[in-house]
Amino acid sequence: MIELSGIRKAFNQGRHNEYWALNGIDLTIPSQQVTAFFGPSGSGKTTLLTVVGCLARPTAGRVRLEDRDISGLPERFLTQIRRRTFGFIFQQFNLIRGMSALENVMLPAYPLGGEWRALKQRAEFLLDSLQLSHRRTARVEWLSGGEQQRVAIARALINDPKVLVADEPTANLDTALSKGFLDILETLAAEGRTVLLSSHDPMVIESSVVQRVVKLRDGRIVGDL
Amino acid sequence: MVYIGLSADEKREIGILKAIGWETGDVIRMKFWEGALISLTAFLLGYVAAYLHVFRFSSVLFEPVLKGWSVLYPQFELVPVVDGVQIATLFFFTVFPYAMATIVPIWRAAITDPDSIMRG
Repeated sequence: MIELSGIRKAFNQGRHNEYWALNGIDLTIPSQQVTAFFGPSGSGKTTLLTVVGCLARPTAGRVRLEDRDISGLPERFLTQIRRRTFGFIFQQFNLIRGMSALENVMLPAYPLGGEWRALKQRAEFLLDSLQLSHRRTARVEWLSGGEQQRVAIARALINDPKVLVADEPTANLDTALSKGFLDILETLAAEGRTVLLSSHDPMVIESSVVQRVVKLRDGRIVGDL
Repeated sequence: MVYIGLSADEKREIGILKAIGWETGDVIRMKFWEGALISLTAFLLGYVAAYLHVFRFSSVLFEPVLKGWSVLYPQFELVPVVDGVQIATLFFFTVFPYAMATIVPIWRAAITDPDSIMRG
């Protein structure tokens, strides 16, 4: 379970262009649930996901993961939590250019050590389950948008995380690919993973896969369905 | 004026690595060895090319400057020699500073919240 208490996040704090992206978020996210954060651009969806996923520290407030306060942990411990607990699927995919699909999928697991062959096998298994075996040696800049997203999904799953975080996953996809993503999401949810995603796409919000919709506006929660 | 820093692409790459679970130390270690490998390869290739140029091809590029343009053309064969102190000095003033110069910018990028790096 993830608990957020009084979360506030500012950018450029103290400067003339100070901006408060989150203005007091109190939220409890149960495990094994698909939760979508819905709201217009600038409502704080992405910022909230980065705070929950330990990508950024809140300016104020606390984040508790399985009853453990993680918001004040040193960077090293936050990174370990991020590595083992969260898998990220970014809006722009954020794959490393110049590397193949297989190498990108294996990247998050390199610092953990372990046998390279076993890691490669697991990465190949994930790509195969997402129908990307035939493209595993292709450089990611040669892949289509849908293929890049599936590589991003495989990369997010390589360390078998409990929580998947997806930021605007269908923003760069057409309708058919968006539906394909939702099908993958359904499979991941059925495996018992907690899924957090942000979207302003009605197709995602109204999907049967999403069990809870939290509405955000101006950095505050304005609805919880 | 010497610019020592990271390109926007490199900073973004470090942000991505941090976001997917690499620790600051992992990033610094990887980038350090990357820089060391590049500079060491360049050093070795440069040294071998210089050695061949001087002792195999009689410094064909610099021969007129070294020997002059007088009427008498002295003939001498250069004796190949490898001076360990010279190699170490060249190494210290090329490979070492390059490798070290990359550490601070990488460290600064690696300790930043990955979110702020990826947002640009």
